[in-house]
Amino acid sequence: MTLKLNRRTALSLALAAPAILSSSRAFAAKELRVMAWQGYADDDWVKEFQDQTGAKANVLFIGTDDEIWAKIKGSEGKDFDVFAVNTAQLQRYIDGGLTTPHDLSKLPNQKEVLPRFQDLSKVKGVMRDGKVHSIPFCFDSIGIIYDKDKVNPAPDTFEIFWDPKYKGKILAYDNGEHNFSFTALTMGIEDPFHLTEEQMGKIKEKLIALKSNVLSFYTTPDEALQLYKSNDVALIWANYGQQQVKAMKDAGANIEYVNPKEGALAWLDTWAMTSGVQDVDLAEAWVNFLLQKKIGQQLSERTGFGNTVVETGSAGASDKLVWLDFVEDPTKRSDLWNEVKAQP
Amino acid sequence: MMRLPGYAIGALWAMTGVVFLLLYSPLVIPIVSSFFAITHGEVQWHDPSLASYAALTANAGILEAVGNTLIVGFSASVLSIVCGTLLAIHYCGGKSLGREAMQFAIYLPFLMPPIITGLSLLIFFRETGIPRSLMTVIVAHTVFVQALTYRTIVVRLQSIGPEMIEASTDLGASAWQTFIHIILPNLASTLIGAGVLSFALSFDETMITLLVTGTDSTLPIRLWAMMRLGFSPDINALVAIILALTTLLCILAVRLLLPGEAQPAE
Amino acid sequence: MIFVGSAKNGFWPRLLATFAYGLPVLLIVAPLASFLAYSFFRMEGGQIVADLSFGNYQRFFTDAIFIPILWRTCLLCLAVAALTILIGFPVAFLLANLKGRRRYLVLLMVLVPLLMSYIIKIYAIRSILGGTGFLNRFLLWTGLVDAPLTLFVFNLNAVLLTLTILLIPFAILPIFLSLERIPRDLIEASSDLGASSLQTFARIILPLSVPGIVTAASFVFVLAIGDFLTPQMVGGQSGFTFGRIVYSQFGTAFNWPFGAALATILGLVAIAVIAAGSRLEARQR
Repeated sequence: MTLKLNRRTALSLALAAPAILSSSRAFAAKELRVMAWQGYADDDWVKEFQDQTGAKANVLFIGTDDEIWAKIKGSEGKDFDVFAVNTAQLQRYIDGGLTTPHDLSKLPNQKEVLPRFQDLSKVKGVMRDGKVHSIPFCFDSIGIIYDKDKVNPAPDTFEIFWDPKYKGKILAYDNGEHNFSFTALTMGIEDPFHLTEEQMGKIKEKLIALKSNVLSFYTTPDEALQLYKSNDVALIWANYGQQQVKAMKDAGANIEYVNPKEGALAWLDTWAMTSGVQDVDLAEAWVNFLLQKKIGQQLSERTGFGNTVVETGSAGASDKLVWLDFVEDPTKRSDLWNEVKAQP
Repeated sequence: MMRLPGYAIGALWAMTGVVFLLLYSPLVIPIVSSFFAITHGEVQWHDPSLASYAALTANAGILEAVGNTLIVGFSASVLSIVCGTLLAIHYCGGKSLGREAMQFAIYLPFLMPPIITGLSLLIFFRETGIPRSLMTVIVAHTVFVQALTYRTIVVRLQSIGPEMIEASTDLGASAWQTFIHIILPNLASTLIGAGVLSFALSFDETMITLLVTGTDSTLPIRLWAMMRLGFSPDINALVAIILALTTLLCILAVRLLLPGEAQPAE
Repeated sequence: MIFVGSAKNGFWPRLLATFAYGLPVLLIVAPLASFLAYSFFRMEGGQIVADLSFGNYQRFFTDAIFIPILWRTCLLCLAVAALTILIGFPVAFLLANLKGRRRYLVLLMVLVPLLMSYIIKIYAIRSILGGTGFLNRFLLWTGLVDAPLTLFVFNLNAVLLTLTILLIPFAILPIFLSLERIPRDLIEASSDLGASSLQTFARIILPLSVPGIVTAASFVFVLAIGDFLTPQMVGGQSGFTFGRIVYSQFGTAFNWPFGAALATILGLVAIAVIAAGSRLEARQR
């Protein structure tokens, strides 16, 4: 058989292509598009939610804060209905008009959450101009993990990361914003999120000193675990807190976790709706669904993170927590951090 | 290709062996561990088990992602081969307007860091109102691997040389006949090689995919997201299966398309 | 090339030409050019301002960190390209000398590692190279060393080695394809004239494989220079490359215009490398 493609078929094919491209959406049933971190939308939860609502929930799992931003900003919020984001990052989405405020009347479960997350006006970062832009879901502190065989007595300050005794045995986290903040805390600076030019210069010097003391800067908890397993590591700046502790203990590591006396940074992940949300009710139903006690419990059991619904071991009430905030100039911090890393 | 003395052949085999040792060492670890029980992230070498494989069958999300990856990889490599051949035939045909510039354009998506290619395509799709889906992923991958297929085909086409084609035309063959009888047979091995390479590239592409997809995940995206909580043991099983299947697929492709004896290798 | 005489103005050639210009312009030039135009914009108070200026490029040339990093990254990628070719050539040469089934078996074995996920491979390589990883445990076990080697632990050597392992197949294939193209009669003529195999290799085969080597080098170089994952995962605190700076501009730094400028520069470097390669290739012809 010879292929007979005349002008008319060629033309109709060309015309039909966009229609085929868009038809998949047009006939779809109710659909919720979710962007989440691994562990925030487990298969069994998604299935239960679908059974309850009769809608299809499609989840895209994401690997870094940077990608969430690139994806949401690049599509101007049109690619997703609801996404997980921490309160510090959230601010740039609100600035960019990329979020849709929540309607609390559609979130009955929010009334049942832990006392410290009930009054959202007291949770730093989730509200702006009287509107609720995101709902707290999960949190943790960023403390110190230490190997009990190698570090004795237990550390109580971040200063230990500069101790030459542990040179080449330290894992730190690869993020300029956080590193400037925690170094500021270590140096006794009151507000680590709004630094002056002079303070930044001093912190940069101290970070260069830190760089020569660490083995590597990691980005994911599993990466840190692998590094720990195949190297002589004594101390870890635990960006992922309890989750890392759980993973490392599961792997048989003899480690412990402390929140240092100068205060540990703490992050809070929340659910926000995009500006391009297609079905607000369905998106709210998703958030409300995840605020159940059962889900909170399972989240903490599976990941080790603290949840906002059920009290868990994460970050006890006596620990000094410094909630992450949008920093004065992320671009500047990133540039300075690049300069630190570029030091030979 | 030439009569080599025995010691030279021996030396070549030895070097190839070392290269294979390098190439395969990272593959062996996950595959071997897939056949043992894993508790608390440690492989239990005394306890052979197929538990990882059993766990995999229950992981619908991952299997769907694998399916998507295969669809995208296959479509993108076929599309890029077709487009690459057409482009190569056009741009090899004597002087065409702005040839150098157009070639650079074809190379660009490959030369740019993936985040640039990804973001610009995402913004392009957004502006033109094309919803993000597996379709856009396929288009993006085609654009991305096009550089590689195009380049490979051009190099081969140039080596065929104009004489054969001139001879064919002089004998009264139409352009279509020349293409089918002269160009295509000479391109076959190149096309398959380019196809496999572009499939491999597409199979692993993470950043562009992430930016231009809708809510469909491919395997690299799932793996990338999993890094936060760590890989579950069933990933080892998955890796072993994928490797077995793709190897089988390659063998079949080679057997069906390039029968060992008919190939004018010597 | 296959259309001659009056056929050049027929329907099919015109369709082909439309396609050959339309496709790249629509799907490549338009999106990329409009995105790279960002490189002439600037950031102000967290928003992108469309003021045309060369500020971003100026910053690249005046700020002390960017050029040294770019230089270091280029050297690294050149080293990777050189290593992959050095290691890959014997395999490609063997492939070209094999016949039938054997040839395809070896060729397949070269390609199979490419079908394994990149991330998984890097993970595995890292567990091999680490301070208490497989390699060191093996060396200690054999008694070759007394203390774990730190030569390949989280430094540029590790990045070099990892990238090399990951990219070897991309070097082998083009070299093999170019070796395969060398006309048999040329080689036969050479040996008929009494040349030894070594002479034939040095005078005929090596020069004629240069196009393949150049293609291989440019593939590997470009793939290596755009990679931001490997340096991060095995490079430790010294594995900071240009690709990572570019990437950081789009995330944490949120400076798309500067990122676009850096990417343009990276693209120019890649284009320069490829152009240099084609020149070299042309001179060999």
